[in-house]
Amino acid sequence: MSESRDALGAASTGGPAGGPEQAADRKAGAAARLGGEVENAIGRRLKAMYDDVLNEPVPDRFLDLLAKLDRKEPSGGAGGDKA
Amino acid sequence: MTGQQDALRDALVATIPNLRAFAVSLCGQPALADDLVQETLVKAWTNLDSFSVGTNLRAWLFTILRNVYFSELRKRRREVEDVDGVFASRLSVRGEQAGHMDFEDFRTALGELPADQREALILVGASGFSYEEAAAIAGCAVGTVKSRVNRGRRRLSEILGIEDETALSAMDEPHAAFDAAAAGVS
Repeated sequence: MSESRDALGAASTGGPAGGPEQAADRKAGAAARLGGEVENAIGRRLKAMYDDVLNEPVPDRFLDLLAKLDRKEPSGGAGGDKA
Repeated sequence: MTGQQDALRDALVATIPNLRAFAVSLCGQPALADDLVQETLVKAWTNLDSFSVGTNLRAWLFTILRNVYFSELRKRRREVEDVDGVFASRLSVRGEQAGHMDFEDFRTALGELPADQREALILVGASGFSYEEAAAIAGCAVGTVKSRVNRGRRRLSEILGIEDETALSAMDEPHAAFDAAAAGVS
């Protein structure tokens, strides 16, 4: 039989043991895993809600703000070098 | 004013829709979200020299925004007892508007999640960041992001009453899932 590289092998590349959140997850185990359909349903709604705002035009408020900021040099060390 | 600066400003403008979508999803309130975006842009502009050109501007801006949001949240938590009450109060007003019900239910449910789970879900599930990028933005380990995403999904499915796949078809009928959820809590 060949050496089996199972899914757990991949999980161990994440570095040292992991925090309490991960430990709790492992304890919850596979039984608590959601079905793919449920994950998809949640993913679709999340994306729909997000894209709703993403597709709105940029409010003038922000263009005005950036125009105003533009007239000032960004502060910080790099800005003061030379004209 | 250099050409590079112009390019950065254009890149900032191009990222605003992303920032707004992230902010609204994160805080649940459009007006507050735009304040977050505004503060993010001002902070970004005044700290442009700390951004290294060639790295991911979007990730940098998202990091600034979530830091503003979480420090705001901590401040408000000190001032007001029940921050989540803002979201909870919507439960009582959502009433009978069918059609938008499903959408509103989802928003409300998302608002009921712990903020760190909500953040992880949005970054990975909607903003399109990898787990690694999301971890860098949230300032935590990759495994922590994965845990938060999983817990967030599980919690959402519980709130929405869709833990198992048979309940899903009911969710597509506007009232069924809501009625089932209402029956569950009463």
